[in-house]
Amino acid sequence: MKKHELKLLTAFVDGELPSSMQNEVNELLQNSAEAREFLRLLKQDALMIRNQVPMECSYKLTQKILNNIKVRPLSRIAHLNKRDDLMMKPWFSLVAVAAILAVTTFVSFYAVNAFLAMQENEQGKGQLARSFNQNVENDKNAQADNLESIAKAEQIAMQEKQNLLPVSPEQNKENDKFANMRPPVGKKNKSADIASKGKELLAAPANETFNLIKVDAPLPWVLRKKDVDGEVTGRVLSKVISHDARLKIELSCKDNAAAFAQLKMNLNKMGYFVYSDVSTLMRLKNKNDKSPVNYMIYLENANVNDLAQLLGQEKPALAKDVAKVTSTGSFWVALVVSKLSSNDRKTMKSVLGFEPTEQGGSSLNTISKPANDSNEPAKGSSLQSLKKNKSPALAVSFTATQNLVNSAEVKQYLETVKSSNQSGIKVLVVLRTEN
Amino acid sequence: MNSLDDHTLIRLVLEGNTSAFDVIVRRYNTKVYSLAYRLLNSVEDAEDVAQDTFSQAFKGLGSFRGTSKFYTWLFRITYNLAISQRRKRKPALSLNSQTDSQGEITLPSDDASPMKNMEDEEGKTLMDKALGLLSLDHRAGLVLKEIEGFSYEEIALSLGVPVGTVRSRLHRARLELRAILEKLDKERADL
Repeated sequence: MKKHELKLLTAFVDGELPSSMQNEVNELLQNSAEAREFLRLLKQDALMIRNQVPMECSYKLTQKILNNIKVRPLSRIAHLNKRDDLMMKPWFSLVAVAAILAVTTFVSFYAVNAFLAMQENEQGKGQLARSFNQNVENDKNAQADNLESIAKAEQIAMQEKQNLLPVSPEQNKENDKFANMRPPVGKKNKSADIASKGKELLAAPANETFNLIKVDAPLPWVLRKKDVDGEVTGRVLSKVISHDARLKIELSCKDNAAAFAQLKMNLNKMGYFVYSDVSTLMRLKNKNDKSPVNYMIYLENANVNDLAQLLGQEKPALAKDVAKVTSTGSFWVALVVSKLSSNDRKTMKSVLGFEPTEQGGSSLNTISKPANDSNEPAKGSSLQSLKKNKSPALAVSFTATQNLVNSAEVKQYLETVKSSNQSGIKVLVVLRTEN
Repeated sequence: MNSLDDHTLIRLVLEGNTSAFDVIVRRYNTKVYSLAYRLLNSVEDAEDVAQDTFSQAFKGLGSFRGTSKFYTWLFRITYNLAISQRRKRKPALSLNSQTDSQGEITLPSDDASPMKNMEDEEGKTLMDKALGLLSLDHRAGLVLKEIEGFSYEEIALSLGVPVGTVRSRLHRARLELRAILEKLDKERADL
């Protein structure tokens, strides 16, 4: 007989034959006398095992077992048993070792930090500045220069304080120079800590002199006009914009109305169709209107180059187009790029009546169907086709009491956005007047 | 209390009612002792194993999760203790059977007669010997299957092995047992 057939027969005797093999066994038994004989013997063996004399547990043995158990108080045994079980588990040992290592690491880390901090405190400001430069710039030559400058600045400052040295105008200028080169002592530890994390990003230390420092945080990102000579290139922007596809850019401006006009003009030049409400346009035309107004621009489908172009400081080609553009051509002083937060979304919702969704376009929350809006101004076919070919942008002003919820411009903008591709960056530009 | 099921009794024991464990002992002492005896072929060893089985079960009752049947858990303790006991002592080749006779051995037949009874006894002796010559794993599988009437799954739980292993072990055990019985039959015929 084949091995497979033997297996079938033993499984059959065990009563564990799968139903799918039942027919196979039946066929085997019908066709093979050898199989029938083997099955008979297997059944006979099974019967002989079952017929064995049952082994009875004697009364004496039962009492022995019971007495053996009664001498052990259960609660104590259970308690010990639980502890033994816990101690015997492999994960318990691993967790215990991990916990000990973690505690040791923490204690060592703080002990070393405390020790270093004590040493640094003892060394004084000059050495603090040196260690700062070592950590941040990793440039030993620059460090030596800075140390010398710092020492000199400190000496001069000390002398000035004690009125031991008359200060000439030339010395004054030199002092300022040295003071600017000196890193901010109060910010040293924080900046050094951030810099030590080693991830790339640009940020400005809290000092008048702008230094490019590598810090950990991806956003917000701060850039000052004077540090980049008024030019924001796509290369610089792409470093931060790659972190998120929904951004807020806050522009700190000398005059937010003028900056708004400049941005609007830039958008027109870039080929955007800018939607602005009537009151915004009126405000731009009225030079004498100095009432506090907020401005925002919202783009749904921007890219890095668009933003670089938008934030560029190019002067307007025609001064009459933009009444309030400043004569210097620099419409912003500093800009902060950050992720579009939930608060920003709420603000957008309260001012514009919609907010950017996580995916795709914007969600219209409070606005009814734009097609039914009777306030929508009639547009000619040429204007419609012009709008279709251009990317839409929303440039509006608002106050604490005035918003654009349900305004025709917002509805038109959203209609245009719906039909356009939404794969780009969503950017909210907020303009603030610097105090 | 005798009518309560195993899990209820265990809960009572864990709550402090140790007399509930007496019921468990009386319910399973014969089965445990019988299994121990079939595995070890020694009354003395079987008694030791039976005592230790209930003692360990009582001690470790808190670790019984209740996901399987209590008796499979109990038999697993018995099986493990039997293995330990067997390691302590050299394996006994001869059975501690009720008779040491090497006389006439006949297989059971359908005849109901005094001769049949005698033949049955001889058959049992033959089977005792044959089982004693099997390995402990094979013997345990056959005993649990034929005497306790366990399914493959219950045997797997009792022996702590996968169901597939039980299936192949039982297959080999039956073939091995058949071969031993044929050999013993042949020896008897030669006499």
